[in-house]
Amino acid sequence: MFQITRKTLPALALASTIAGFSGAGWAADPWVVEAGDSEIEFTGTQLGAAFEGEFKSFTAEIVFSPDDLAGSSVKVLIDIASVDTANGDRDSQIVSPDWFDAAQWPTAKFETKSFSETAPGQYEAVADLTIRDVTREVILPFDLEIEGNEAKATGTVTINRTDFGVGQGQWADTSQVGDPVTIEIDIEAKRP
Amino acid sequence: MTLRSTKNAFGAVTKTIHWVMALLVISVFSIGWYMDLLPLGMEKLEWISRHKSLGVTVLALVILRVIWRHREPTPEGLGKTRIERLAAKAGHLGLYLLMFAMPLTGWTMSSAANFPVSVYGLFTLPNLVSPNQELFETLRTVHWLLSWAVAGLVGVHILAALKHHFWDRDATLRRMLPGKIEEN
Repeated sequence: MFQITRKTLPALALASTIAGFSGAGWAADPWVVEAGDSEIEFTGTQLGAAFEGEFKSFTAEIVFSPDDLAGSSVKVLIDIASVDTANGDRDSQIVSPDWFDAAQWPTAKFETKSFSETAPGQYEAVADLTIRDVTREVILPFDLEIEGNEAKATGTVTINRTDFGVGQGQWADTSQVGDPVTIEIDIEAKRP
Repeated sequence: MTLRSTKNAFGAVTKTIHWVMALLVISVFSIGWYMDLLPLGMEKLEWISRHKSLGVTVLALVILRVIWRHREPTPEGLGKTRIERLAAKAGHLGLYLLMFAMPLTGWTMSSAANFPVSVYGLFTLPNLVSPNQELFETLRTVHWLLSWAVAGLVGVHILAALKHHFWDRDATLRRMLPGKIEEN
């Protein structure tokens, strides 16, 4: 006869707790971003020529399962002051009041509202992107590879900087600093 | 009209390149100094765009000029002494070197600043070096120093032409003037 003793009780409780979390197939999984292997880059144009830059510091809360897109969500906070375009003068311009005004709005936020699968391994995220005090809906198509507990997502979305008030006053003119900015994400994450 | 130069006269091609480049060099030089003094703003960027595009045009034309020069005779200098003719050769060599060095240092410093060069918005030149703040600052200083060399050498070039024309009363200036091909 199977007897529950004092000794086995805690172990049983622990086992059932773990089962309760991981056993439910429909619950989306939390993921932790590998900061060293992840990048949020962008390409803008200046004087008619494209240049690249990146935001070196950001945090992400990711809950995602391909089989539970409704329960999946991603929220990314980007530290504007971490911008790096390999040009100190330009970087200090970017954070200034005419552009991102990092003193007043230090972070940009990307928060998903829904996901859909467009092809095997390919998804689209509908998200609210907040830069400065402007929130706009963007659609980010991305490719996702999940191998075991490691995932890699890459995607590109093009936005217009002036939609978000990036470039105030004379800088709203897009002849020298182009309006479209392409954001490229390359995120690697682990399922703990 | 004679396209090619002879030992005694400049052809139409060389004259045209000479005067187009004279206009370009003076424009790029003036814009360079003007844009440098402007405060950061749209206007400054517009002038920087023009400066870069015109600078690349100088580079393209000086390459054509050198190729063309090697394919035609070069009229001999009219200086009376050997020293004078050597000085003229050295001055011309210096001008050629500067017409290469200015655009090349400008292009490289743009690359180092991660500010790629667009040519009239038509196409973008590849970056010659990867972004490097220190290199950018060094090249900016070199570009600035060379601009003084341009001012000095172009000044000497003009004064020398005037000296030949009014003092020596030879054909040096006349034979380079637009219009009919003049033999000295």
